[in-house]
Amino acid sequence: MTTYAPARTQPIQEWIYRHRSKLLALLAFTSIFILITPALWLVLTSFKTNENIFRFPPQLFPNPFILDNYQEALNTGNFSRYLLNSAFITVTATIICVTCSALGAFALTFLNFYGRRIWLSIIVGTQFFPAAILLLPLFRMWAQLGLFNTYFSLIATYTATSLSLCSWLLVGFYRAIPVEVLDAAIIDGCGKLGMLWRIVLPLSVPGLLASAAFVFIGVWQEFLLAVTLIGDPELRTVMVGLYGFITEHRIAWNLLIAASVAVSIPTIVIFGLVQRYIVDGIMSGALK
Amino acid sequence: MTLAQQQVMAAQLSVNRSQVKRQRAIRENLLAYLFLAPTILAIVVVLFYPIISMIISSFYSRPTLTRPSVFIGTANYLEVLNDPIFPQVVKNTVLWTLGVTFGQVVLGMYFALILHRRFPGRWLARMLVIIPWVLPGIVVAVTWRFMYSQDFGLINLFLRSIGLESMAQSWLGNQQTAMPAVILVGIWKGFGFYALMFLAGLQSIPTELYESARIDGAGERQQLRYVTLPLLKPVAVTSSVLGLIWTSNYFDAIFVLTGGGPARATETLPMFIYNTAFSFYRTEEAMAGSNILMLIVLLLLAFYMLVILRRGQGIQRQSQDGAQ
Repeated sequence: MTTYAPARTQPIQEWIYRHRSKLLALLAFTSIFILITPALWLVLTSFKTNENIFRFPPQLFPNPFILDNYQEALNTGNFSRYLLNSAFITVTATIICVTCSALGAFALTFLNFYGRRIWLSIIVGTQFFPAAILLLPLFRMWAQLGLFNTYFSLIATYTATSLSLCSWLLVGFYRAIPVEVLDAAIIDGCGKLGMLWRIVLPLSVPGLLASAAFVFIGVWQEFLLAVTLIGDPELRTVMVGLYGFITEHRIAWNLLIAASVAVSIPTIVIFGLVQRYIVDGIMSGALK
Repeated sequence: MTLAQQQVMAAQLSVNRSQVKRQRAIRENLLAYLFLAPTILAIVVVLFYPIISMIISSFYSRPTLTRPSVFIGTANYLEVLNDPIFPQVVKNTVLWTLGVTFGQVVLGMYFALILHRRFPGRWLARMLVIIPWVLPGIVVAVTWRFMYSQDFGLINLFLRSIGLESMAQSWLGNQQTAMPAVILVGIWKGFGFYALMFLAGLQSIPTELYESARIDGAGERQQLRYVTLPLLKPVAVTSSVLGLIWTSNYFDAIFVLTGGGPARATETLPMFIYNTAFSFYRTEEAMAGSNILMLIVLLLLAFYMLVILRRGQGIQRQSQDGAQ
């Protein structure tokens, strides 16, 4: 009886059903390709000579394929100095932030103390204070303290603004430590400090690395605070340096594009390394 | 040992025990606050102090050489609210926030639904889809400034090569196209995050539900309509409320692409505050504007908490029903 046969015995639907994983792959990669075309175009352009960038019809693949743009961008003005500034500020802020949150999150997760819930919600809540609100008051405060235009102001600001997310992620990772392990440690007479040092920290190395990666990426790419709190061209971060290519009278597109690709590499590499942990961390934080 | 002696000993023991307990509690409190001290200090000094001082200053007049700053009540706020450009700014902010969040949720959902299915090369697709989200904000802005460029941007080159020369234009320089153009950039920057969130949400849906739906005769489309989407709704609601907070305050892209122009067509509230403070040097008004923005964020946050709380109660009720 044909009426009872499943609908997919019709030839086309049968064909679709049989090849559905390939069709899905086709659909997925086509949509992704369309969406990341701008980024691909940027990377391709970074290897082109200046006259080929502005040619019509456009040149698809760089020919000749050159690395001069990267070399020139690095040697233009203070760009290598900006890279060093950014590296110093980012690494310092990341280390301070992760150290503080590793201790703070331990207290919030494993210690019973007065006001624990309140502090947890205050610390987690501060991540909703966006930079847009903080720009002006921070600018005023650092200026009044005479710390405007210093590495210190930027590092302190980045540390404070990253602490919330970092503590939140670490609380998530700490909570994932099996209770049995902690109970066994307590039975063996391990104190709270020993618990932190011998159990919690060693077991949370992936979590600590993931949180550090998250802070690093956030600080490395931050722009608005950096452009507002630093006026001295010598102290600029690399993102402000990039913006410098734009605001000058004429945009040096070949250098701007090569520099943009170069400064994206650290974030992409780091994200690729810890992607799994970051997704876990966000999910545990967001859904709990 | 008599009963009385035993009682005395027991009492002494319990006194000792409660003393030990109290000492331990005090020590634990000290240790906790010692560990939390750096975090609390940083947050109070670098976040709370400036915000509180901003709230206070916003009720005072600007000090001049001859006149010290005096309390003027809500005058700064009225100045902002009566600024002739303010309605336009509010309109821009709402358009930007809703447009970007809606686009991100739709695209994120689309990719999550595709990437949840099995197909060859899925791991690669999953990595590629979050590239725009991982790129630094300034790089995203540079990318799109290049794309939108009038003479050599990829969009205009494409239009020209398919014979639509007349449509090629300065996308960011035109008042009509500037806002849609920056909204597109906002969507592009953030949809990967939603794709990740929704993907994780999809993975948490038990497969038994699909099995029983299939046994009940549900086709692919009905499974999507009656199983996937309803169960994904909580994740979608919470992440889009967070997205609204984040997007309404995000202006890196606008800052680099248009700076709020042309003719203030893309000036959202944060951009307006920035321009008021750092281009026009009207600090007190900018502070009043920041406080208005902060109020909006707090309201959205309260809404978010409400959603989470209601969901928590819902889950509790369900589990109670299940127990009965």
